Amino acid sequence: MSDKASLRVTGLAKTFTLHNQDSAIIPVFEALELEVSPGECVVLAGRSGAGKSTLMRSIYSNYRVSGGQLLVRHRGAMVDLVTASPQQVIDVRRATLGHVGQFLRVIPRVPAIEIVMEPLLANGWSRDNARRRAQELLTRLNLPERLWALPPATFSGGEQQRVNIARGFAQHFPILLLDEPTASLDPANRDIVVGLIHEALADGVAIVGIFHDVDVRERVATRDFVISDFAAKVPEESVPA
Amino acid sequence: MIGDKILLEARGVTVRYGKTVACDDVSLDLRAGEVLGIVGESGSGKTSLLTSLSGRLRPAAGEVLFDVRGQGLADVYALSEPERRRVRREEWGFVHQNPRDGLRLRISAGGNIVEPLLMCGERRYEPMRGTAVQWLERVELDPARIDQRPSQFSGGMQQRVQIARALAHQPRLVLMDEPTGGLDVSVQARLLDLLRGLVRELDLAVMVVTHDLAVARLLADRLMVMKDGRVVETGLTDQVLDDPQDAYTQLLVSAAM
Repeated sequence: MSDKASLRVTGLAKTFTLHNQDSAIIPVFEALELEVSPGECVVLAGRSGAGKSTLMRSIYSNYRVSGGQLLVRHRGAMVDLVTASPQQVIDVRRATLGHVGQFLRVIPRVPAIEIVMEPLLANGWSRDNARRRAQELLTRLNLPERLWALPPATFSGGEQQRVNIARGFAQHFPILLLDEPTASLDPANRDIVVGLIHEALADGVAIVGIFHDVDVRERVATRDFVISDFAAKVPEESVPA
Repeated sequence: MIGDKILLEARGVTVRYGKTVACDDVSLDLRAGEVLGIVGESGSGKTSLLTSLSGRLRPAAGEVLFDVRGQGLADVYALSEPERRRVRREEWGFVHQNPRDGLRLRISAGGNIVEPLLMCGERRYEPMRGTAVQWLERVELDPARIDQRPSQFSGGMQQRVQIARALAHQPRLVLMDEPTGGLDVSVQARLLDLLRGLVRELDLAVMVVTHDLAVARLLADRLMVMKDGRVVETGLTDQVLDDPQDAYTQLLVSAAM
């Protein structure tokens, strides 16, 4: 184990229990081990339904895991997100752990540029600096300036996704989780995102990503991680006779 | 930024109406800069809990502690009656579901906003009028309407006057009961956006009771899910809504549109 890992996942297990569907138990993975160092981009591989997004969401602590440790290097110390207080998790998400999902969560009435600025303001940036940084990214991602002041509810999928990416890359997160960030983008914008990822890696960011696009995957991956190696065993009683 | 210091704490709070247990052994804590959402359907005990935490309904068991200015964490129900009233008036703000419960309908919008300041000891006319104008602008109402009575405002506007009234005296703790309750969806969105901004800007500790999960998602950092007077699940808002663990929470989330 390296001493400089940004993210260290050990013995991680995740099982869903659906209480209202005959208490169906859906095991996803168990005893999962993953370590990501600065400048690495680990790409989650595996067929659809293997649990790639579940792992991403578990690392972000959006999903609650059934066991194991999720250690992140946060403000100089390793913090276990599984046992951290809610306030600590919020602080880790604010300063250390960024997440770009497939969809932008649209907030009523909030303009695109404010959505990008929000995490910067939460980290103490001045409004002017946050605005400048947001403008820089939105320009780079080719989001037409006339859209900046509008709430993204009516934007196309690709436009919303670019707002989402700008928000995720606006500040320097030491760890970034990218769940299909290029899914709804055209080739030109895809290239721009690949550029952003390369710059982040050169900056020492540790990245975990899901990329269905083979071309993007080959250009950014430093290593593949096969999630099915840690597939959870289906419990005895749910195996059909 | 969420502070380290606990502002409000409940320890094993139980509320009974006769033999009916409205709220059973509830514990929670709340810090500055943090919004805690209490969700659950009608009758789950969330309003009884809020009423008890707000110093208006002595719990049958348990304690409600508040970080009283200059005194530190103190049992709200052990304070003398005048002291408890002072804390409620000066350090807390309330937003009711029905603006008519939070506003005085016979005095002007401006009067409503500054009345709590008056009760906090402000006596000078100019600063009070200035504060009222400032707050009307902040809640996006035309300051020219400062002398109109709440009855001349629409429901959504009344709610904004109530929010201004609840916040103008700079409380540290704000308790809200279904703040966007009876409003149109578009008016709700404006109000939620306004509240989100104010909470961050003023570094408030907020407890918001709602049955609307969309409202909870937008406003709250953490959620507490209540059913039959008990807390069945707590966690970060996105955890509770995206990966609910408890059977009842799963039902609640899957039933939401």
